[in-house]
Amino acid sequence: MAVTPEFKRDLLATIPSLRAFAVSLSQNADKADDLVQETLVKAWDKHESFQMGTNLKAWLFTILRNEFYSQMRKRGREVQDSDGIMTERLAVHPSQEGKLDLADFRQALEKLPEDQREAIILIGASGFSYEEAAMICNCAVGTIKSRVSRARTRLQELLQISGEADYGPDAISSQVLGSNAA
Amino acid sequence: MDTVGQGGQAAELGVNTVKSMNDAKDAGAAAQPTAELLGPNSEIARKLKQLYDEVLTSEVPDRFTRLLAELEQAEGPRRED
Repeated sequence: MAVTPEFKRDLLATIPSLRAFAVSLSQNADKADDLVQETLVKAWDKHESFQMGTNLKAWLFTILRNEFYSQMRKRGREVQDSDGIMTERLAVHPSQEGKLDLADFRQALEKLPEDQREAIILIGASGFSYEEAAMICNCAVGTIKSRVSRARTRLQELLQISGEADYGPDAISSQVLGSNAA
Repeated sequence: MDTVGQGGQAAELGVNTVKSMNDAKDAGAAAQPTAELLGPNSEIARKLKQLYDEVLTSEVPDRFTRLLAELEQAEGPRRED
């Protein structure tokens, strides 16, 4: 059965989201676009298994993510060389007056373990529900929640509670508040 | 084609995924996970979105529209899966 014009149109419309997700996974713009290309080819080949009217974006994200991890397994860890712009440029400095520089944030995000990074991206940026993210990552909803939570905590540590704040009031108050957190 | 095995699995997973997701959506759309977990750290949520949107709003390279056109052509009248 041929690909329908609607399927093609929806595929095109999802490309920006796929690219954004791919960049966050691979941390490299060129590799990200290769990943998107692979995803589109696979989706095209498998279009018959997609049911029109269901969540195409989630279906495509699942394919992209599977592709990413299968490439990682094939090539080994050395693929994790990222664009210079993301890694090298700067050390994370304690933020001034709580102001977060975007470059600092990017670098902090890059330091997260992959599972935490993808979880916080899917929930916080791609706009998926916990249930959707869990399906995409093939894990339990509770796992996604805890990954997002750990990602958030780690980002806070990297961005705010580094340097002198380690033994400052921030660390204490966040411990106190932390016990209350969901 | 010999990619069918592996790809088929992924695709199957995708279908199940989508079904369950639609169920989940009906039940939990109001949960607003971002507000729940990222809300108290709105600065983190904002930066996350800002970073993501940099790519999201950037122009889609021509290679992708070309790719889809090629796929469409390759499909031709004779190709059946």
